[in-house]
Amino acid sequence: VEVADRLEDFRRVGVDVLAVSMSQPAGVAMYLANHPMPVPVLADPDRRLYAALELGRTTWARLLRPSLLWKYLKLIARGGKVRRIPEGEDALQVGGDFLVLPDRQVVWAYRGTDPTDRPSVDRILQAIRESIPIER
Amino acid sequence: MPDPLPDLELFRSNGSTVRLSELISRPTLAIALRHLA
Repeated sequence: VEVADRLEDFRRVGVDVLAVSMSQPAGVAMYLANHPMPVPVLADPDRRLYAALELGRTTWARLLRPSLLWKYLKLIARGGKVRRIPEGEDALQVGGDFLVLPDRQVVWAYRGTDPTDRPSVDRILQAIRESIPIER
Repeated sequence: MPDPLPDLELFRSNGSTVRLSELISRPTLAIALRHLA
């Protein structure tokens, strides 16, 4: 969501944005019908891209550690909703952010260690500036 | 420099397939979601 709110910043530095989900295509379609997103969302139900990006799995111990549960509780207190993991998805799969060039070289990677571990948009934009020449 | 990503096929939400090479024509931030939420 944070990235979606700042798409113009990515366009300004010549970078497209896309998202990949481990959901089935029908699950992505159902989600997008209720929550339109301004970037393409692709489905990778076999997680082949996740594997190619060397995204592993966290552990239940890490997932349920007190500091993370506290973050969830604060999220709920602010009106957020904790959704059930869709059937067929892996609750322990971690995500990540990757800067990929047209030759499919990954020039920057941030692999999350748990569900809340995401780089800030400013951190991503900084990495873009350091990794590729900016189109002006 | 590490090997480039394989030219994998992904699914669009309508069920059609698309290759990474078709998706990525400019530098691209690819976000691998943990879950849709």
